[in-house]
Amino acid sequence: MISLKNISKDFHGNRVLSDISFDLQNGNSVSVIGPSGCGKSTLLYIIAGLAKPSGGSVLINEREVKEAGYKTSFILQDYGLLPWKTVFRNVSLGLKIKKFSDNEVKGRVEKILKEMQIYPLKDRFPSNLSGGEKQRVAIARALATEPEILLMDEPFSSLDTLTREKLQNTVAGIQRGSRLSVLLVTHSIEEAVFLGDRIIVMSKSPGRIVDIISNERPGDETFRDSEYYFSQCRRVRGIIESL
Amino acid sequence: MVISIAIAASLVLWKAASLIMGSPVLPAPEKVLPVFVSEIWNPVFQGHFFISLFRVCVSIAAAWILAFPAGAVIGYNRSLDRIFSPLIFMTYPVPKMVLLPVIILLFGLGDLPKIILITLILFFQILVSVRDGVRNTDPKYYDSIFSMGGSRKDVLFHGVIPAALPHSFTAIRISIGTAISVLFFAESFATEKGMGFLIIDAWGRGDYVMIFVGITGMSLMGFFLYLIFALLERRICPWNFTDPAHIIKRPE
Repeated sequence: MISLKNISKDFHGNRVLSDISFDLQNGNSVSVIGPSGCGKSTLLYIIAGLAKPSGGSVLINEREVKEAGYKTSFILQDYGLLPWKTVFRNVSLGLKIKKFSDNEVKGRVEKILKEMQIYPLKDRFPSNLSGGEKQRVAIARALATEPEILLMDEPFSSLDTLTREKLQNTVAGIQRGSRLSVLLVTHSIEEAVFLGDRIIVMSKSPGRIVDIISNERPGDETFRDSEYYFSQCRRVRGIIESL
Repeated sequence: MVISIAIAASLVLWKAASLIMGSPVLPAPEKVLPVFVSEIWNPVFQGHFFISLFRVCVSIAAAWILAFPAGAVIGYNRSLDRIFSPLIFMTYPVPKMVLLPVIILLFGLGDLPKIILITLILFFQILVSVRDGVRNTDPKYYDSIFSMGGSRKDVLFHGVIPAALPHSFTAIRISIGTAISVLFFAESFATEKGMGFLIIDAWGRGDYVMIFVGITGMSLMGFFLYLIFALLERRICPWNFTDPAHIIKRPE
């Protein structure tokens, strides 16, 4: 479980995040949505251990996060794939860093590449992949280390609608079959509603939580056709428009 | 194919220049090339060629070994960059060739002063290219490694070094012309070995064909070194040579 307790962040004397507190239970998901510059990405960097909060703390399973990569995998905006590594080496990097044996790395990476249907691309470099393929590689890389928490920073923003929905279904499917917690930052209301068990709406800078909406989502693609989904999208839109 | 066309074009230009000048100082390629081919088998010419090749190769290797790690570390570490950048800024524009007499006085007349001079010039070119390349690398790649629990050592080996490698190859390829020019200068006095000496000696004797045999030898040396480093770059940095064009036709 992740607990955020009164997180604040200042950059050069300017407050960008203020008093952010919420919990994320194991196996659940939270979508964070808000206007540009409200500190959504900064919040993910703090949870990932890549940035230190100016105040407050992040606890994962009651332990304060002090270093990056503790129980978390982070999919950065624009995927963060290393251009100089092939798909196989990108996906294996986290395991290598965590000192897994070569045989275990090979076994795990091949398994996840097959699950994500990108095994035939294993010897390609990122520059030779389409946007959807890059995102599949980024998801495979994040899941290869079997994290408890998956952090995603606007993961599908640069994809076309059909590819985006396909990958949203993939993430929802992965989460449904596991105890993986997902924390997603997005600009897209539809994405936030489709993937979040709760939707956290943030205000303009300094980012504060203005509302937390519970979302009864089935976690499969039929959800997109339901009246409840549309009403939830309208509700989130209304809150954002009122900011 | 492209190389053949380039060689043919160079020969045509050479021939045209020779005809236009109409002077024995610029002999035609058909006079120079047969002598060059026969000199290839001459142990004296081979001695000059290989000592020059040795000097330039050792200099490139030494410059890379010294400049690559320094440039990568300075480019990555902002604190070190703040300390060393002003020093690089001050010393980079200084023409190092003027140091040749001092280097000869300090290190004698052998291979060492020539190697030191070429290394010194290449060092700064590689250092600046690698440092700028690393500085301009998107920090998201380093964040990506840190986010997996990577240490600074992991970032260095999986991020900084691979990001810097193509820049070092570019610097070496650009510097090869400079290295050969400095080699000629360093070999043009106080020595009796090397292609630079061969050209200067032929100049003194008024043997214009031999001057051009030397020029051809040095040009081919530069050409093949360039080719070797271009092939090495393809081998070591294959991600820089991928063709993304085919993904347009591939469905998701």
